Amino acid sequence: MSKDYGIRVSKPGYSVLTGTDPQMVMSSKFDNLKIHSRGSGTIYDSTGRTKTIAHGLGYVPVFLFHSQGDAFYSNAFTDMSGKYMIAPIQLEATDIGSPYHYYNRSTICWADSTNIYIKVQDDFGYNFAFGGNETDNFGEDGDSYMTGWFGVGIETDGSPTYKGALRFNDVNTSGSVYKASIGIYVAYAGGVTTPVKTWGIDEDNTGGFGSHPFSRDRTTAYVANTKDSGLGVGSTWAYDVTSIFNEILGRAGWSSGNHMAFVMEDNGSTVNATYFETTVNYNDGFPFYTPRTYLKWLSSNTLTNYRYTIFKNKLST
Amino acid sequence: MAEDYGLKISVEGVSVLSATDLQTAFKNDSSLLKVVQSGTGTFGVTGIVTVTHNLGYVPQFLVFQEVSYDFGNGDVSIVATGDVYDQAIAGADTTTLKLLGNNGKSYQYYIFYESVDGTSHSATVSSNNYGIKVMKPGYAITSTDLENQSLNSEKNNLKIALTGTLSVTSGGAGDTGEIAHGLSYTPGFILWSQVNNDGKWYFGNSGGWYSSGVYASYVDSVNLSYYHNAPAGQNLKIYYVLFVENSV
Repeated sequence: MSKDYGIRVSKPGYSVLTGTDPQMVMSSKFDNLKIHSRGSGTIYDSTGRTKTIAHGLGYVPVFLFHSQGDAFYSNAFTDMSGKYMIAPIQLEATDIGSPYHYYNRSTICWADSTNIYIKVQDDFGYNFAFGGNETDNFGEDGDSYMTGWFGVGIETDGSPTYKGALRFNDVNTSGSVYKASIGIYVAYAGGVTTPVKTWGIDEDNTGGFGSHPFSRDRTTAYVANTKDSGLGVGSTWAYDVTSIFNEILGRAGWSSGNHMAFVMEDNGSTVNATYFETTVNYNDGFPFYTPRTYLKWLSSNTLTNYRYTIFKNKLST
Repeated sequence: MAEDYGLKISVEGVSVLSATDLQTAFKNDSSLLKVVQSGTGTFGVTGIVTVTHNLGYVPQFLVFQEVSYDFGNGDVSIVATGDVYDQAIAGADTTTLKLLGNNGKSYQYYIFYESVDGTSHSATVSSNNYGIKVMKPGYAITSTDLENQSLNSEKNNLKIALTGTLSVTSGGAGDTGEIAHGLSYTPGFILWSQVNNDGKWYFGNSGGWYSSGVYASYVDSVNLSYYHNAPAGQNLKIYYVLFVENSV
């Protein structure tokens, strides 16, 4: 039934008397999305990956977030570099390279009656490199060699002392990075405290470990830390190697895509060694299928820029 | 402070004198999303469509596309995500809106005058000597900047045809459902979902692996369909907004 009250405003060229609903610019028959506020910001790794914005409405409002994706959206097909997309971005875990693996690198957003929130997930912004085969790692226990795994520490009788080396292929970056870390899968005897000292191999493009790698030049930078006994078998021990990473990138002969390697030695163990698996081992916790031994780096502290729009309209809760 | 000037239109059944902001279809202190550019088309073999808007700022936009994965030809999804699952992605910068989709599938886009961040800009519209123009408080009626205008009859607005909340008990992850909308056309839409009454409303197809809410949603001329990953026995709520304006 046509009502004879209210307001109708027609588009240019259409009669307000006979025009259909889609031919109206507005009609009091319909509600509209009414903008309450808009704003913008930046998410930095150093200040937390979730941004909280108070809306002050006292109810859950209709909202939109626009933000920029990470490097995944700069590939040849998508080429969305710099463009703002409506979040959530990348709802699916996504295979972005070889070996086959999925990352949690999405952007999600939500609201409650106090705030709206935008969050970039843990892998957002990171690039990864892996060891490809058994020539990419090397272990030594004093009188024998091993590939595919290595130990760090000592046997209960104090001898031998294990040490290892690990190479990562195709490190596609140059200059310097904001943050880099290494993750190693704990394969055996994980429930012990193991002090470890880590150096980089000071080379432009480290070759495979076809022979003993421990006499190669090492970086000036090193990391001395301890694998906690709480990290048991099946977990990944991850720690920061930014200073080592940037020292190697700073070599005159370094080029993006070269290979980079690290050496780990015991640093005063008093109990059994921890054994690390260095060939690719996957965390198969659905839906994320991620290698447990990796080298990853974050080029910049700036993760993404975002824009938000909050409407006066209320989500019916 | 209550103002005694401007324009306020209450929703049906509510006195305009006592209507709260939530009970108004329009009030001149709020901008509506004014359509500056819209269009439809079909993706070619490249799957890429670039629309030039040349606004000089990043505008608000909505994109809807036909999808093919599992859900049948003709279903339309909101492209509110970088949906690599369906290869349905859209993003805007200061000069273009870029759409990625599948060969042979249709799309519809809306670009609005309103910027994504509320920063002022100099977008203007030709001034006709007919129609209606309503300013936001504090701006002269002679201003041609659409950001200062809450309504201008030269430009269409997104009009809400239907809203609703669905509350169901999940039969398990991967469950699906349909909401008959009764509109007899394929409307543009947006939605939010909440799982287990946790108070968090996630926008769009964002549930999936992360929050177990809606991970895919589609519309045709009869139904709004949804897929979710809420665990069996938990409550799933969906709030949806369907527009008078078509999707594809």
